[in-house]
Amino acid sequence: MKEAFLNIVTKNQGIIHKVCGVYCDTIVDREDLFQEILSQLWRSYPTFRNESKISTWMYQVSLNTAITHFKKNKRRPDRNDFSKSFLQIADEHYDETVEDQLKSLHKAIAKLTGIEKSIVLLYLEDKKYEEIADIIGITQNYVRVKMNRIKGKLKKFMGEV
Amino acid sequence: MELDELKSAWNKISSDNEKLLLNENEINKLLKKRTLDISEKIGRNIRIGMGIILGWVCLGFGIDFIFTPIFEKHFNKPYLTDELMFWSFILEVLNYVLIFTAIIIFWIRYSKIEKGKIDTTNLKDKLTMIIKTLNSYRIMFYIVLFIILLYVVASFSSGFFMEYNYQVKELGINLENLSFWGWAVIVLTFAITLGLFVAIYYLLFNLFFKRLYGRYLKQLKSTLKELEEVNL
Repeated sequence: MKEAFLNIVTKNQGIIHKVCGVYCDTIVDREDLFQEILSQLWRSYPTFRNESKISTWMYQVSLNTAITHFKKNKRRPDRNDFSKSFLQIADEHYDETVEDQLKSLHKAIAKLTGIEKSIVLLYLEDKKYEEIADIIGITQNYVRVKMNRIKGKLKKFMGEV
Repeated sequence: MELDELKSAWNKISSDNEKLLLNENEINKLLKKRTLDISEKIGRNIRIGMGIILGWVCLGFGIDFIFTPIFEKHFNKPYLTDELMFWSFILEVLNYVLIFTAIIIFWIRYSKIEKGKIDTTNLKDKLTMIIKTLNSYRIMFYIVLFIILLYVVASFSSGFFMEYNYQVKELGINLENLSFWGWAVIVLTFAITLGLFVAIYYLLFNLFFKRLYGRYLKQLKSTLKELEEVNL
């Protein structure tokens, strides 16, 4: 069972990295959260039934863990360290303007609430409203309403940045 | 720039870059280092807290029923007067009854939460469970605070009363002839010192809990509220 689990997680670890990227400001935080998500996935794996997609299950567990993650009050290293590594665009696509826009988007997302962050992440990941609703456990209609509000908020925050 | 326009840029983020990618062995190693999740951490803190309360009870019990009699025997005279001994004893017994009742009530409450298995893919259930556990932890915190305050008040009052008895009986000071202002100074000193003790204990405990989980609990409650509004 562990082998199958490791295989699934290794193949789909991009999901965990993106969730950590949206919810964490520093490398230390990201590592803590990554490990906690991994533990939660392992604990939840025996109850995972193939009724839902692997990605849906991984998003559910990862986002729930990130939203309820407890950050210790400790001195944090340079905040920029993490965004630099997370927002690095692959060389073949590199574009300075796009990277700047992504950085301001990342800063704007950081100002959203936990649930809003999960909705915007799934939206950016090109998930359909139906799937977003399924992952977060809210209605499709509300995802639509919430998404409109989030777009407004992000526009405002990105303007400030 | 519109969010939709950023979708394609977002997909270019090299989250799959080599710096972040882990292989199966590295993931397996991380799994072996398995950390406690927040509920388990709070559970561990609760058990430590219960241990501290029990330790406190044992220490108090030892002082009252073992060390004090030894002390009295050694100095060959009763440390406490019979009158003081009686109401001090009643207070102590009341204190222990309170502590044991609190521990039992608290343990029943905590066990109920711990036994309730939750689905980790359901955010509402997970939030509710953590909030319940944290609230239990907060209740235990305040129970401990209340017991300590009660203990402080009882100890301070008996000490003050003993000092009064000592002044009257041993030194032959006649406090009955004390003027109104003399009494006022005694009462005020008693009230201010006691107030300071109580305030310091209360502030320290409150600050400790707030620093530890206060902000986190507030954040979880607001997330749950947001989720409930969403599902209305």
